[in-house]
Amino acid sequence: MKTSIRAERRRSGGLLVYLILLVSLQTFLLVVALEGIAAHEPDLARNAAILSVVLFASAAGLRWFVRHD
Amino acid sequence: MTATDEPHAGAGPSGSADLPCIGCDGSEDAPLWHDEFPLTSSGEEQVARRDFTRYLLAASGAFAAGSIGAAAWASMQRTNVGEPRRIVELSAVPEGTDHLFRYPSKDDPAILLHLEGGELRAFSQRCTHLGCVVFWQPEQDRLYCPCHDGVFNPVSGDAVAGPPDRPLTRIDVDVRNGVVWAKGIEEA
Repeated sequence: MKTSIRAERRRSGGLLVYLILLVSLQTFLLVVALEGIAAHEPDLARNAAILSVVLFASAAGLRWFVRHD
Repeated sequence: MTATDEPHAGAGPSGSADLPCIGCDGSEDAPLWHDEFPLTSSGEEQVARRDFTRYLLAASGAFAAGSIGAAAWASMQRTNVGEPRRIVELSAVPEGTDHLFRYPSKDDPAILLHLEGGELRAFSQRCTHLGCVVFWQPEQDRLYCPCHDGVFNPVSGDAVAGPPDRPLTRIDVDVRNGVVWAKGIEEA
């Protein structure tokens, strides 16, 4: 029982760290997208948005996977 | 979580018999706050982590939505190429001097250069790095941005030093009957 709780805590801790890194990266991507507005470069903003959505989807999928494991 | 079978007299106004209770196991050293927050520390940690991941996921979604909004905004932007407009008498701008004006709108600072040899060049004064105003240094033959030491070529507008990596926006100019006219923004 103790082992199971520890494993669960390790797993949720790992997920937490991953999500923090991911949100940090998305902060950077939002800045890049805003830079795309300022520089009149829609391609730059679009690519940043696509990558941000992919990261969000992967994070949501990972959280769903962990919760239903 | 720690729970007891018996209600704890100090667990709340009504006795709160349903809540798990810490300090009900006979230990007299249990702090008073346990009565009002009857959760074990490990239980608190588990709840906090799950909540935190939910908040992080919400933040992630918000950032993704913000990026999509920024991309949509960027794709809807249209460059104002400006209308032909009279700028200044050519005689008022001798060779080796410059003239500041606004083009295409009154919020867009621009600079007209009368280069040695008689050539006229006009550029937006906004530095392509972070939008500071550039000015001409004829003795050093360069357009200079003092914010981050950006340097541009006064003939082509190309970035030649410093952080900017894109050329200045160029304005097409023409001389008609001794008057300098701006004809519009040159498309990149």
